[in-house]
Amino acid sequence: MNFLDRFEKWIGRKEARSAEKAKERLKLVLAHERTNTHFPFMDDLRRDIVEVIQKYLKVEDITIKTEQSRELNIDMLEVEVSVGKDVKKTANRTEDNS
Amino acid sequence: MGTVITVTSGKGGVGKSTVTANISVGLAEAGKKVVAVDFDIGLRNLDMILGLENRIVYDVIDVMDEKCRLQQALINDKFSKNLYFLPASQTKDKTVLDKEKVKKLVDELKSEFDYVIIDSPAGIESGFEHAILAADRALIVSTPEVSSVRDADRVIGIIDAKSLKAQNGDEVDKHIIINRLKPDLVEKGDMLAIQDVVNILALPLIGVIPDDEHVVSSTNMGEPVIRKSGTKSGDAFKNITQRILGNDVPFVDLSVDKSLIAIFKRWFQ
Repeated sequence: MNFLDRFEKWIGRKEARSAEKAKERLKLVLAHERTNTHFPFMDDLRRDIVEVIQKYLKVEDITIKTEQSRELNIDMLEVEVSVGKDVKKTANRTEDNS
Repeated sequence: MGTVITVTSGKGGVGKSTVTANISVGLAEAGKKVVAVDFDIGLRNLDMILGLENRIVYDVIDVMDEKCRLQQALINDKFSKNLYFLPASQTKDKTVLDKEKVKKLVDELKSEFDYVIIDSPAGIESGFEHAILAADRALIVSTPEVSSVRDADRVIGIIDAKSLKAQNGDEVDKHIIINRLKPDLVEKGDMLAIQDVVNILALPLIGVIPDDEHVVSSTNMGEPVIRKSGTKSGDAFKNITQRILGNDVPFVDLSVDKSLIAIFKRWFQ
């Protein structure tokens, strides 16, 4: 086990993968938190987006990523929405539960 | 009615959130309905350890202030259907909590879940007091280091004074978790041994987690190490879970393996 770990690390795979992922996740979370300080209404906006989506789609797992940046003199606000599991399946499950 | 377990430590950075995440996953995998609640208002972290940081819409303060229903704030885990997560608020500070609201929330959670696992903030101020308020049990996390053990002792001393259970003439069930033990350092006599810590804190031990690099990579990935079978730390968390459920599990021998094969193996590390 240890030897295998070593070997994977040696060929530069294992360690890089998890550290790379950590960097990615941190960047996302911090971008979001910094957006919050720049746009104090961000949390409310996210909630409104979720509400609107749920009005049309029966999904629970809505992921919203926001990123704020500045290019030239324009403030940019990027919003990425993903709705997780496919809608059809979720709708069926809800029927089963009722 | 569910059981409320508060994970606490006194000193910061000893692994409270890691312990909370892992035992929450462990109990959920054992078939219990579990909610992990982050009480570290303003310094949210449990979300990243569980890998649920992008799913947060409402937080624990929103629920307490009745800005949303509990169901809207609860986040279902990606892998364990039995596990839910209630995130801390990141934009407010801990002064917004008040005892009545905390108690109401915990009571509501208790009626819906078998286990309510509360991740307490570091320190012994108001944040800690709210986290321990409704606890049935407390897991005190300490590393085998002087400052950590000292702060753990401070916390142990005030748990009962701050808990509702103690005010009703009962006592909070307290156990110690020793985190990040390095058996080779203990062997050399350069780290407090398990028994030393247990003797000093004078409380029963519920588990020892060896220092393990898998914990670091798991946190990086947002996938608690208990899901990685065959890892020493993951197995240690599984054992703690079993002991919480009341099962008698023998403690794994963490002492340094002196066999020839083991010595040979270490050459490759």
